[in-house]
Amino acid sequence: MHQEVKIVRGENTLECILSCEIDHHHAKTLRERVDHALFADKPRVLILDFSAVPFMDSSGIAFVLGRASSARTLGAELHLRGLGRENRRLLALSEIEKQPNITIE
Amino acid sequence: MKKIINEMKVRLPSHSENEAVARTVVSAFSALIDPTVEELSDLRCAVSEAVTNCIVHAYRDLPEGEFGYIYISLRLYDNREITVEISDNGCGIEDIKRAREPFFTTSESDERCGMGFLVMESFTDRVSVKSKVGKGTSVLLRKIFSPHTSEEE
Ligand SMILES: Nc1ncnc2c1ncn2[C@@H]1O[C@H](COP(=O)(O)OP(=O)(O)OP(=O)(O)O)[C@@H](O)[C@H]1O
Ligand SMILES: [Mg+2]
Repeated sequence: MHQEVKIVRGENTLECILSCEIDHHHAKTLRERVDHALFADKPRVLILDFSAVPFMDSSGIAFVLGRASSARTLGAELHLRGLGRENRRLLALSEIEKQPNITIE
Repeated sequence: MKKIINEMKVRLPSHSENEAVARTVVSAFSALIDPTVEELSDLRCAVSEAVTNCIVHAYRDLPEGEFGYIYISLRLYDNREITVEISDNGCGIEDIKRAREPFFTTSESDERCGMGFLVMESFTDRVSVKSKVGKGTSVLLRKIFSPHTSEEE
């Protein structure tokens, strides 16, 4: 399997650099890999980097909301980075900015 | 009267790898009218939603290892309109109005948010849904692409 997520561990942060299309087909693997690292590391901030994500649909929305909820159980923040115009428009449909622990760069 | 200038029919097994295949089909079919990046991305996303729904919901009751078919029918009209019909022979939708409401989902185990129909509605010009319980569902997406301007940007 090719690398879909690269994980970079910081002192208080866990950065996940995503590099595949986030559809239903890929979402499960991404979710498992990110949650696994998140619960092992328990960082203060989980950073998801989307700069290398070429496509995303509602499975991407669920993925982001799901990671926000995983982070919340640890009292952590979720930080979204590198969102392109299309992905921003998509996430806006779910009023993602209303989530208490999400910040968007 | 608008005229059909191109058409294409595709049948895909309901395997999740085919979500990406369906998006590629849309890109290939739309190339003829040279759409903007944004318009193409919107249509790809809407089709991805409808195809994913066939895979996730329509055939959910099939035994492990079995699959159903997804039928995709594309049409291009001379007014730069593209229609994509995505249909299945799956379980059908009981209450279409309710299914189309944002955040409504029947899937509890999987991570879903009930945004599929809202994405289709936001990213195309019209979405029509027909469904019969036990027979299947058909979703018709319509998108009119902006007039072609060669010297833009
Ligand atoms: N082709 C289909 N066959 C059977 N039921 C469907 C079909 N398409 C949609 N549905 C029903 O309509 C509901 C809403 O669909 P929608 O795409 O909006 O949300 P979702 O698929 O549940 O979640 P998301 O798309 O955000 O992952 C689904 O939960 C399902 O019950
Ligand atoms: Mg859906």
